[in-house]
Amino acid sequence: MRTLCLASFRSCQRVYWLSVHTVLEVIRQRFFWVVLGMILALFMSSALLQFIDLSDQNIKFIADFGVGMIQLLGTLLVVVLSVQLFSSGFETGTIWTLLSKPMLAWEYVVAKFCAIQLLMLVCLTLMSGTLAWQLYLHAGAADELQYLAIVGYGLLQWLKFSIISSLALMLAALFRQTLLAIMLTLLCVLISHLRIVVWGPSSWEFNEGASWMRAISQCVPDNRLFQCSTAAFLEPGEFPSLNYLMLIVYALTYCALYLSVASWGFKKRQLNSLA
Amino acid sequence: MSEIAVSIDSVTKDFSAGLRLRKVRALDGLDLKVHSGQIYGLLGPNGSGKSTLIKLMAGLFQASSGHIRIFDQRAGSLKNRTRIGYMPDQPNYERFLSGCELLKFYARMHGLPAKYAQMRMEKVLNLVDLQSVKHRKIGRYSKGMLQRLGLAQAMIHEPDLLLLDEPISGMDPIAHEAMLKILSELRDAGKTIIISSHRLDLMPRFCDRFALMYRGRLLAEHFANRWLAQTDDRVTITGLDTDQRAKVAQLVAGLEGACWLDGNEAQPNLQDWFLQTVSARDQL
Repeated sequence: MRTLCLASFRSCQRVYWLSVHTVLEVIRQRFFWVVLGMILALFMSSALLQFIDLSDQNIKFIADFGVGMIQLLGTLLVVVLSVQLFSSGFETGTIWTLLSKPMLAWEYVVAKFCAIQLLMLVCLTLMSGTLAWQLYLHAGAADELQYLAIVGYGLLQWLKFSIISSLALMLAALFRQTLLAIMLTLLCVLISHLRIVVWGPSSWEFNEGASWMRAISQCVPDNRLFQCSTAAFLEPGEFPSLNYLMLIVYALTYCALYLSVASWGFKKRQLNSLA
Repeated sequence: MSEIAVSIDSVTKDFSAGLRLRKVRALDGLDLKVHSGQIYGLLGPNGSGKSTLIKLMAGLFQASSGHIRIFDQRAGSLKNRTRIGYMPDQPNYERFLSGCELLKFYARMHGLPAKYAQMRMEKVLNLVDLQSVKHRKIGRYSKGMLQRLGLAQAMIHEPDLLLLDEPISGMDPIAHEAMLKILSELRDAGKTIIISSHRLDLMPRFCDRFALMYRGRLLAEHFANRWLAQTDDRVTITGLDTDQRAKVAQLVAGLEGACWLDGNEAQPNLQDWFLQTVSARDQL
């Protein structure tokens, strides 16, 4: 029992140090700051919208614009970051030294995942904060805004991005080519938004083809579960009554599944890759 | 006889290559034993399987068949990795870190306590003579510095076995002499070192034992002292100046059945042996 506890503690320590190492890797790259700067600049550009007269729809328009940006740029950022961080060790050759250390395959995968989650939390905080600020500037009075709803929305997106990140890590572990892994992840994200096509229409008659498609569609999460109307930011009592506990369990299940496959794929790739 | 540090029994390693996943055999039924406290050299042309063998011992690859045991434990196990220090053939380290940060990171990955890690870091940095540049970013290190940093990270946790893949490639003569001196000191401290290199001239002088690998097989194995002593009917005279050498050469020329070999000629030619063994193998 004591040996098991000690081994678990050592594993956690290694995951922690490797996560810190990964975060350092990202924040010491100029590329990350350039991307973050561009994202914030895009958000700030919504200030220009005040010159467009949309009458009472102005704030709604800014909220929709901000939410759209969070979803689009957040998805692109998390996919590229996940695949790039996972594959960079193989591309630069630094992985060989690291793997000769007493470290397990799953520790490497989980450490990368944790580091990405931390970075995405920072990015989402910045993006949601900028959105709230822009809304405050346009709303004129702070009490009209539902800050809690914006924070809640940010956390929902963080959960969604954690699933996308684990999916990207899995595909990066299974496929050697970085570009292929990025494209496949984006395709899966698209499919997860289109699950309504196979689940939605009641006009669909039950047949074998539909059953297969529905079964396959379970391999990707339903990203629509993490959406909420922007009306929640502007009007009291509009925040959707989602079952947050269920969403957390839903996200954790998908993450655990994807990360397990990623660990298996990584170990297989590590032990059989060409020297 | 000292204990066996590394035992390799009938190890084969196949890789899948290309779109058709064609099998490429990197190691073919290899047997090898390395005793602890030795420096063991692996010689061989490119593609002979030296790096693959070292990676198998480090637990980076899994053998397709056969067994590798390091200190009587399966290669690649977590416990085993704490006793191994591995230096890759390409000195690729995280360019965004300084030398000092890299060593700290690897010390932490080995679970060394902070104070001990700091002490070890200072020690290995002194040993490889990188103390003055320890805060410099690795991206600004020269090739020789990177090689020395590679040795430092391999030694940070005081391993019993060092696996060094081409540690002196790309080094200037002064740097590689310094590297060999460090490795000799480690051997004297009881560490086992397995080293792969293309430097045929250095192997007998520096290793206790060396093997020639070719196309994934072990062609020949030699004790370095026996290799050097195969000239046992030779008399070696050192410390002569040019005039004295000329006089001795003249004297020897007058003796029946004797000849005088000067300088490098006097060394047994490992390159000739290497080429002859390899071409003999090709003719089979």
